Amino acid sequence: MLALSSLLGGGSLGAAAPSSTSGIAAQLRHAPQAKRVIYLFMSGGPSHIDLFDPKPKLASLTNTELPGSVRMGQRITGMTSGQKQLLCVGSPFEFKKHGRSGIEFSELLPNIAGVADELCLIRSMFTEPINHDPAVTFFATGNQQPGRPVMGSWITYGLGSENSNLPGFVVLLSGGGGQPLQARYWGNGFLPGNYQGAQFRGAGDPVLYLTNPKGIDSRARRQLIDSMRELNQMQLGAVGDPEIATHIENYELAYRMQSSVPELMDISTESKSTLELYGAEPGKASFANNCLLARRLAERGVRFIQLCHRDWDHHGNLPSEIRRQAKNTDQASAALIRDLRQRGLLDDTLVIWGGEFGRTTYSQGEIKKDSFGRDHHPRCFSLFMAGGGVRPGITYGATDDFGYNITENKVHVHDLHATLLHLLGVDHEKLTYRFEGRDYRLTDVSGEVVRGVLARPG
Amino acid sequence: MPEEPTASIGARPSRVGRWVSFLIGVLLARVCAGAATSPAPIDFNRDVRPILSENCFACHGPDKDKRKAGLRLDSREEIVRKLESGHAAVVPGKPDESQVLKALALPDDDDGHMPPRKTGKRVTPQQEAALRRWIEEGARWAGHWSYTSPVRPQPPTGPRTTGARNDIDRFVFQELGRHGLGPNPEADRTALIRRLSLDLTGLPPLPEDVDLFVADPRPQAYEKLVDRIMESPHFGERLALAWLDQARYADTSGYHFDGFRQMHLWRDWVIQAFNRNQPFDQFTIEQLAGDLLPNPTVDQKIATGFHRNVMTTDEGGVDPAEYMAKYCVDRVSTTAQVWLGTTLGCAECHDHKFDPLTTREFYQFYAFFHNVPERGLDGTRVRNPGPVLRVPSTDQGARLLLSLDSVATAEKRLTEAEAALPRAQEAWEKSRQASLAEAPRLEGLALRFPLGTNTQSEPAQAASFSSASNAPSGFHEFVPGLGNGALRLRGAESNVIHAANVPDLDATNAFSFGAWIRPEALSGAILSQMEEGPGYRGFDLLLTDGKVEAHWIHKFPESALKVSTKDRVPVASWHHVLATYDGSRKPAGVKIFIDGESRAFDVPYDSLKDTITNAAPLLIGGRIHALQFSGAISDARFYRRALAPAEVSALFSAQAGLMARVPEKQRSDEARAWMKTFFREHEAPDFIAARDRLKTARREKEELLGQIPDTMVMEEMEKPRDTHILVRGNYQNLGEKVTQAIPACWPPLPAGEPTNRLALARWLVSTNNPLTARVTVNRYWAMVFGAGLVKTSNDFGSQGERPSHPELLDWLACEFMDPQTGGRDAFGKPMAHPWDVKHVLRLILTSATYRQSSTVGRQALEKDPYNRLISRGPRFRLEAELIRDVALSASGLLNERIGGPSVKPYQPPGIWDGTDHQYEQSHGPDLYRRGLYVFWKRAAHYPSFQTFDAPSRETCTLFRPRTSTPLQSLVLMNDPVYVEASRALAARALREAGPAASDRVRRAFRLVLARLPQPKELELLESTYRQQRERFTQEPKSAEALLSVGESARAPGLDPVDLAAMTTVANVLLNLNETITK
Repeated sequence: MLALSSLLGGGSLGAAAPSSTSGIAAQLRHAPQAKRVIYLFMSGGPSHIDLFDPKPKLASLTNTELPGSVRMGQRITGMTSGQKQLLCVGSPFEFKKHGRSGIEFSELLPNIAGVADELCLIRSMFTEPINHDPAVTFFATGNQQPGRPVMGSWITYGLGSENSNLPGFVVLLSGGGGQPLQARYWGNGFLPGNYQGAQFRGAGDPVLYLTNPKGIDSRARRQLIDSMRELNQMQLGAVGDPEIATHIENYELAYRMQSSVPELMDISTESKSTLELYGAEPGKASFANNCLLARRLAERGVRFIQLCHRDWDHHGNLPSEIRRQAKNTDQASAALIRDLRQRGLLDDTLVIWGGEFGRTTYSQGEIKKDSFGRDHHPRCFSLFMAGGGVRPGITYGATDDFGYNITENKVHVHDLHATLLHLLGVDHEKLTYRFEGRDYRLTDVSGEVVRGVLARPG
Repeated sequence: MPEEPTASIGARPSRVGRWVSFLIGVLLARVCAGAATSPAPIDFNRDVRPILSENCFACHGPDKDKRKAGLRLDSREEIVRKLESGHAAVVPGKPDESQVLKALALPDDDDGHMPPRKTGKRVTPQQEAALRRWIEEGARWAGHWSYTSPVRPQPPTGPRTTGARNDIDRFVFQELGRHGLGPNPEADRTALIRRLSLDLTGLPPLPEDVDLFVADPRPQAYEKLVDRIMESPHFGERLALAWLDQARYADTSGYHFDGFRQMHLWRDWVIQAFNRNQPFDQFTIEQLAGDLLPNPTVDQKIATGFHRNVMTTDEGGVDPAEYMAKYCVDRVSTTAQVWLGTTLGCAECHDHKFDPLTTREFYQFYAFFHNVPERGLDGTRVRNPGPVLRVPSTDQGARLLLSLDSVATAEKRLTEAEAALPRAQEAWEKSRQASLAEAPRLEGLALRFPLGTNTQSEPAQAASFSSASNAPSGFHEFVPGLGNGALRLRGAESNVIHAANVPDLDATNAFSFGAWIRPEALSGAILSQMEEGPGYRGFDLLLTDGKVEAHWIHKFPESALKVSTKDRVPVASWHHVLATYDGSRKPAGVKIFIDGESRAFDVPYDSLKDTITNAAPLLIGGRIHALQFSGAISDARFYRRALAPAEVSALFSAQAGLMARVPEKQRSDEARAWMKTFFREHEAPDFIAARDRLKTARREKEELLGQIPDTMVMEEMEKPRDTHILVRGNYQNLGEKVTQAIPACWPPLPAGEPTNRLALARWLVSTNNPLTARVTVNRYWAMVFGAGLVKTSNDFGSQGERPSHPELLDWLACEFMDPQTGGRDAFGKPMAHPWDVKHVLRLILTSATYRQSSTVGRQALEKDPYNRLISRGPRFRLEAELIRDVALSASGLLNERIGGPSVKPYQPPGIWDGTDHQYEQSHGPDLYRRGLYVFWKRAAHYPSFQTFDAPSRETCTLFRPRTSTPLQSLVLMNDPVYVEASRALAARALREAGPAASDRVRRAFRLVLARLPQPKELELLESTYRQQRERFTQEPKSAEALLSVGESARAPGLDPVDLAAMTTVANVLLNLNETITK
């Protein structure tokens, strides 16, 4: 039985429990830079060309065919493989340098640009799959095929949690339309079920089945749990199975969650200025509310907080669609970083913002005056991180004038995973789990820590 | 019982309740110490192979691409081979000359130290000592144990086996004795019947059945009970549970949009196969290759759904070839895991690192599954992707036959009616000629424009063509029309015919207007008397996209009436269109006729309030500067009243009368065709009736077909696909072409038979296959005892764990394939048949091993913490589905129907939010079906099952972990199904027991736990009842609120306060550890 210590941290199992709460053996760890992770997953594949990776020369190439020397025969999706032409299209959005670091962002992200000096912008991410399902699965688990644990599961398996009243891996969803989200994207794969991301919800029960049924108030619940405890204890005495002791403890923790979780989810207690910073509104389900909740979860020691925001898949009508989506996310993303900074949490909280792949330099469909589309592009994409031991105020890696191929410092998804684990103090080659006779890792059989993005490359 | 942690370098310390963990530490230290001093001779497979596999095979094993220094350590021949250096890795009998030991002895930082430091692997001193002894004793080699066919071992005898009831016990007791343990005493009968019921049906026993068994004086009472429970129709449901995990059964496609599919017929097949105790070899053959059997039955085809349960994609933009490969890979991995306990999937991209399986062999196996006529991209999202089999129920089949029959009859009738048409038309025309063949003279005709060259008997009144102004000739063309002439317009403004304004006409006047038309374009005005925009005052009749429209407008759109027919007028044929208006300004006062029949219309505007009077000219074939008509127009009329439907119909039919006077030969082709159609549609009642009957029969057939479920099945393509090695697993990188074959480490397929799926299936269950029987009995053992004899039930390979009782495993496997024990029939033959699942289960369940009490003492917990030695009866948490089943069953809510489509019970809102599907909850009895039937959506799982470790069923799952978390506590306390079950259980206790609280508590307790409560337990529950009763007495609203949870009706006649208080007691019972544990 591998249950609860990782789900709810340790130290809560009674006086006789050993003090160690950590997941993996101490010798596998080095000093961590980050204690926890907030991963802002932008589902659908935001366009790097229109947000993060300025391509001034591309404007003059608009409506010209993508040179074969750039594509190099690489496969493209079934959505554009039938197109007669692959015509380049420059970004209609203006890019400017920001902050002391001078990182360039497009006009669509004024708030994120405002925290440029906190960010480490990687422009040379690449991945292998070319369609959503396998690409998100790959980014989440290091493998395209379903069945393996996601980052948050690996990390809570490895490190446990720091809060005994909350799960160690929490998931919040926002946005509608666009590509579907699969439970697999926060699934435990072959790890035991207690390592799956616990979804917290803006509407209804914040944690499933948290609320007592009508007619049972908290006092009655306490009385009933007391009855259960006594009966279970009699059974423990008669049978001797230590599993019963765990069962008893679980009900105590469940009872505590019934008060701690609603308290956590109630953002109305935040100051007006904080709510305004995020653009959050109590009682509403939104990305902004989720960002604020992410901070509250981070404060309470939740190890891995994953936000999934939908609808970045802009195959057509990209200029207006991406503007809308940037508006939905820019303010709150930046607010999260500012807020973590001002509360002293950013130094040991790693924030990651990005999608499963980038978008093509060529248009999907016709290029019209105000409208065009971009297809999926795995060869390069941009992603930023902040806090948690990454070097602030830098860009890392570069792509060619088309934003098609990487020209320096390639970062594979496995490399990002290795880096993430490194920042948490874990050697990615040593965090393994034996399944079907093989020791599996998040980074499969590869992955190099990207030293260039570390604040202390050591 | 505590759950054993999975061995892993990074594995977390297990949590066995911390106070126990130190005991285990003590225990492990003793076991290790014991091993080091054990005098038993070295057993290669037990003591040596695991060391080599773990530490050496990755670089010196089967994978030729990763092999270092050309050295292999995975065969005797290779390990003793002299290397170029003149040394050998192992020199039998001479440990000091063996390089293996030298490499181990080098300092960690030496380059030659093995295993290399960077691998993180380490050989312990004890392991090194074992290797040394093995070399000293001659380095005897043995093939990997699971690749050698099992040979039936002799069960042990002697003092340690005292108390054995069957041979299983002899093996188990022998091993217990070796560890200084003995079996627990037998559990009491109540505990036994509950354990048996849960193991064989997944449901708790009824208290009445418990009483019967407890009082049964017959010597074979227990065995008879086993047999009786095994005959329950719920046996198949219970056994199907694990099989559905292995077969990755689900109700959705899995990838991306996760569209719905329908596979419940396959699930029903599995349940029934277990219930009729189908031999496991047949069970295998039908599921893997039922379609290839000679003259397969429908059931045998349904069975092949096993391998259609793979996930399929509906994501636009994927390359179908990529996904076809994924489906095939999944079939290979699943087949290898389920039947061979082998991780063949590892060889998809590279040779297996630990077991002798190459990539080439992987694709040879893959070739067996590469011939299904399926598409890689399934774009349907709502239906089963092909190939599918439609499977009517008996009733549906009978109805379908009847329906097909009535379609055939109706078709025949229609053909006959059609054949009779020409003669009937001739006769009818004659009769029309004889009668008055005149257009009806209808009152109120104000205007008429014949627009033909022929003059009619009816005088044209008022304006005529000659009054049209500015009509340069040459743009108009007179055409014969239907015989009485027509004017053809070409859509030019100059073609439009201007007539004088119809005076004294307002919205309050009734009038009708229309014409014969033969449009050549979909849109254009027929008649209008309307001003130009923006006001458009006036009225008109026009075609828009074939629909007939009419306006009555004061000012558009604020004060306007517009109608638009749902039917459309086809181009290039003659039709009569006419609007009637009663002066009411309302759509109800309007009728639009096409070919004499009033047609349904939409009303886009209904705001006419004012006058429509204007001074515009009446135009034929257009509006002012707009909507010029293309096509022919004839006989336009204007009546100053609303014609009655019969009058319009007569007006239309008159055309036929007129035409009947024209001899057939003189008619144009068009006129002839029109006349034929007219006759069919209006004057041939027999034909019309026959046609309607056929339409109805066909509709009924389609409806019936729509109700008949289909199910996905396997088929073979006529022309087989080529199979290539996919280099590094990349579907775009085709390597060498391969054909079907079995990996060389296992016995080959029989020669001289076609190498197809059927051959593969038969090979899997042939008695010389060393794995299938072992793997299968091991899983039944795991179902009963919580862990298999081989704990890694999905890996019998070199990295898998050795069996805890190797001889028992082989004995069971042999008994499974070739039963020798159990009863014999009159001819002395064993009653059990080969591959008899019930027989193997019966042996296990009637053993003394199984019948032990599950109480665990300190000594047993130290020596056998995870009960791998079976020093006590099994005790572990139930599967997710069964936890719910137990609550429903004890409360009496359970709907015991077997089989059928999946159901959607209560689920919190929002679970499917990320997936673009709506959860449509079931109602009524479907809410209370067994967990097995709950709709399985791969992208968004039924939450309470997921919380209790149910897998996603995306891929084959052979073992469910058993966690214990506070989220589970929340489910049991608050999920409406458990609250509702508590209420129903409470009502049942109140109804079925006397008025005393103690009797009621006792009844509820027994329904849930089978046993009677101990006095202390009873006392506690009674006091909880009193406490809650008091609370509800003070808060009657709370009682009502609690009792309102759930859709089932509340039992009548019970006091709400009593019922609510008892409901909380029931809720306590359903939350006990004992309740969710067998």
